[in-house]
Order: sequence, then structure tokens, then C-alpha cells
Amino acid sequence: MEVLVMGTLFISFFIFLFAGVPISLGVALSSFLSLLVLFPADTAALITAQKMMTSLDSFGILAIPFFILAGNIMNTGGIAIRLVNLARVFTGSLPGSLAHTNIIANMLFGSISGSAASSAAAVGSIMSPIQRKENYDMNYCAAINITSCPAGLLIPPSNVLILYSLVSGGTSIAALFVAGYLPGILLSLSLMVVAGIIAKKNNFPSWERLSGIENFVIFLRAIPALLLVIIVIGGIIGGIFTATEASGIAVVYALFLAFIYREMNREKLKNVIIQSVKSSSIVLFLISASSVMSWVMAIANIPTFISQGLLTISNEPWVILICINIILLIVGTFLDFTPAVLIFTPIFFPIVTSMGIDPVHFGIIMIFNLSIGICTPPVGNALFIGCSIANVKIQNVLRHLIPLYLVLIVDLVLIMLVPGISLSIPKLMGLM
Amino acid sequence: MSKLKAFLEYLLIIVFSVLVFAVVWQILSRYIFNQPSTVTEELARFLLIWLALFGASYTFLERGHLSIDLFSEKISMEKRYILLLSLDLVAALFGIILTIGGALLVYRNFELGQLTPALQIPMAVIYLAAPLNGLIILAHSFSEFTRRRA
Repeated sequence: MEVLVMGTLFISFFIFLFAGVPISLGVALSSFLSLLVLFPADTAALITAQKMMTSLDSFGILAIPFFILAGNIMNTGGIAIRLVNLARVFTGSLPGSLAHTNIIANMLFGSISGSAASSAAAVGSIMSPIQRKENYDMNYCAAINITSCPAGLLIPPSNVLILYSLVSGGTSIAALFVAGYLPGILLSLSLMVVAGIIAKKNNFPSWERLSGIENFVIFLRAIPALLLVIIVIGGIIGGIFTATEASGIAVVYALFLAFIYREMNREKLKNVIIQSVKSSSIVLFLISASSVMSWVMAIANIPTFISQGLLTISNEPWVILICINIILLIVGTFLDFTPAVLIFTPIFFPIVTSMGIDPVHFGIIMIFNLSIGICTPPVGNALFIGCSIANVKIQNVLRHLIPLYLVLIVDLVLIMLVPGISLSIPKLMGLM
Repeated sequence: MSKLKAFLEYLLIIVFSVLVFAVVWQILSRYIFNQPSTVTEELARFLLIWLALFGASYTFLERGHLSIDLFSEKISMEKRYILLLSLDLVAALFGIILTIGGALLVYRNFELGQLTPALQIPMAVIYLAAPLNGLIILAHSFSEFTRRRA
């Protein structure tokens, strides 16, 4: 019986997925079909609807639409250009500095918004015209922008870390948030090392030097945006407010900034809200649909089944962890990180925690792993956006992407082998 | 369908704005008045359900949901036509399941007469979002199907 449920679930899901059915619909439908093995049709429909509704009844999930709204308000508010300028101050004198500026700007942008794709779009659209003017190879620039934008998924606030916290049954958001800092910085720095080597080889030009006063003005102009980081992240880590409350404050603060800079009007605000509703409901509906699937997986004992399968390969936690990472890397090439986290956390989480791997550490490994997937074909959000912003073809960018993928995989291995990269800051702050 | 879309837009803007006010009020009541409001927390949770469901069907009308379209681009026009028609049918099937399952859920809660703890409104009203959006998705896929056939 269990095998029949599992077979129905996986086979129908993959058929729906590759036929092009929206992923959320495919998740819900394949769960419904496998429920038909156990229940009459009306009961199966009732269970589906009930799980979909009750999974959304949570104050914690509210943080996701709010951080999306805050991020979108700040995008229209001219924050991106201020952060790019700030990144220029830090990186201006390095060889091939336009690439470095792009990497650091993505990191800074990630620290105020929780989305990688919007970072690649916002930073890329500012950097591309400048890079083109300085005769940089645009295929290379796109590759750098694509691979550096996932820093935003690791550096808080990060919606995908909130998501992981929810589906893993309440792993501390504060701990996950600060755990993401070093891996995010590692990602950016390792890409900068490679970018530096490539720039020396190709003699890419750097920015014109700025005077001390210019640097100071740029820094001042970026302060309001950076203040948000201190309020939101400081508040969450300090235990002053919950992630949901912090996300509400982020919305109010972003609105306040947008009106002060006089870059917001009724029409713009309306568009921003509708845009945020769309991005949010994609994630929320996936949460809703996946809750049916994880319920089905639980009653069919699928996590146990898979963990027994993995344990026949080896008893060694590291071997299992490597197997899981290989599976996730493959999954990530075609599946976006949101559905991947929702579907695979319930399967892998019980396995790794029973082997004594820390939930926070595993969360960071999983998100880092899946963020490589958004840069790879055949389906990669960051890849698509990065190429369209730089106006280049995917097949031409790939040659430049391959060495950068290797860098990311080395980072992933480091993060996996050295738990301290993820866990030392949360431990230092007494969050775990 | 375009009227429905405009209506959904207004509804969603109102729901999202009230949601923001509810959470901000929740924070203020906790820190300034030192008395967390139970009403706003419950209101926020229920509005989130509406935002998610109505937002999902609005996004469905806009074809905004994540999907993998690797194959539909590589096959012949004829096969593609058949694939798209079957995708409409699959979406319609989902609409039917959500409508029927949602209606059963609403009916059950209505029979039990369950009220929410703070706001004292019937749970059935909140769950109404499920069958309503099931119907929207069903209607949209049906109209797409007939449009394609024509």
C-alpha cells in the first residue's frame, strides 16, 4: 500500500512537473491522486482542501509577504543605486573593479531584501551599461552577476531561511539568520578572488578614483538603507521582536524612506502592492500545496523509506550528507529553491537530525546548495534574469559560468565540512 | 475575466493593506500599550489565508505561477496544441478538487458552528476562500480551453 502511494505521488508529480503544469498545482494534484489510493474521492478532496487551508493559518508565515513587500518598495525607492555606489567605495581600487562592485552590491542588496532574483535584476541593470561602456566582456559580467546574487538568500533577511524554519518544525529564525552571514560573505569573497585573477589576465579597467569627500557623501546617502538592517536584524537577534513583527517594521520603514525620497506615488504604490501579491502568493500557494504532500509522505512513511535506502549505502553521516547534497544539486538544476525546500526538507530533515547534524547547519547547507541551482540551466531563475538584464545569450555565458560553478561547489564543500562557518556566530551570540 | 481580474486587484490591495495595518497595530499594542491585541493577530492570520488563496488565483489568471516549460517549446505545433489543451484540463481538475473539497470543508465548519476565538466570526466564512478560488481557477481554465479550441 505504502509503495503504491509513494509510486503514485512521485510518478504523477514528475509527469505534471515536466509537462509544464504550475508546480504548486502539480504538487497538490499528485498528493490528491495518491490520497485516492487510501480514501474515497470526496474525503481525499476534503483532506486536500483542509491541509491547504490550515497550513496557511500561521502568524509566522506572514513574514514572507511582508519582506517581499518591503523589498519591492525599496526597489522603487532608488536604494539599489545607493548600494551600488557604496559597493564602489569598497572595491573601486581593485583590478577589474566593476565585477567586484557587482559582487559586493549584490551582497549589500541581499542584506536589505531576501530575494536573489530581484538583486540580480536591480544591481545588474545599473552595472550593465557602465560595464558595457568600459568594454568589459558582457558574457563574463552576466556570469558574475548571476553567481553572486544568491548571497541575498544566505544573508538575512532571507525568505527562504524563514521557509526552512517553518517546514523544519521551528528551527530558530534568529539562529538561521545570523548563521547565513559567513557563508554569504564566503560566497562573495571567493567569487572576488576568481574575478580578480580573471581581471588581471584580461586587463579589465577599474573605476575612476573618487575623492575622500565623494566617498563620504556616498556613505551618508546609503545610511538610511543600512539602518534598516540594524533595526530589523538587530531586533530579531536581540529578541526584541519576532521575524513577523520585524517584517512589518521593514514595510513601514521602507514606505517612510520612499516618501521621504519622494519616489513614491499612488500609482507606483498600487503596482508595488500588486507585484508583491503575485510574488507572495506564488510562495504562499506552494507552502499550502506542499503541506498536503508532506502529510501524504508522512502517512506513507516516505522519509523512513528513503532514509533506509540511504543507510544501505553507508552508516557514515558524511557519506549520507554527500548523497543528499548530490540529490539536491541535481534537483536544483530544474526546480526553484522554494518548492525544493518545501518538498525535500520533510524528507531529509528527519534523516540528518537523527544522525546528529545540527538543524541550523543543515539549513544553511541546503540553501547554499539550492542557490547554485538557480544559476544553472536548464531552469535557473538567476541565470534567466542575469542574461536578460545583460542582454546576452545563455550559451555564451555558460563558458564563463563553469569556473564559477566550481568555486561555488568548493564553497559548498567547505560549508559542509566546517560547521563553524555556519554555527560560530549563532553560538557566539548565544542563539543556540 | 478582465472584470474579475480588476475586482481581484482591488480586493487584494485592500487585504494586503489591512494586513499591514493589523500587524503594525499588533506591534504597537504590544510595546506601547503593553497589551497585545488578540483581535489583530487573529485578523492577520485570516487575512493571510485570503491573500494567499485570492492572490494565487489572481496569479493563475496572470500565468505567474512557477512552472517548467522545457518541452512545450521543443515540440511541434500540433503536439503543443494538444499539450496546452491537456494543461487546461489538469488545471480544471485542480479547480474542481479545490471547489468540492473546499465546499465540504465550509459545510462541515458551518454545521459545527465553529466561531473564531477572538473575532467570533464563523470559521466557515474564512474557509470560503477555498471553494471560491477553486471556482475561479475552474472558470479560467474552462475559458482558456474553449478559446484554444475555437
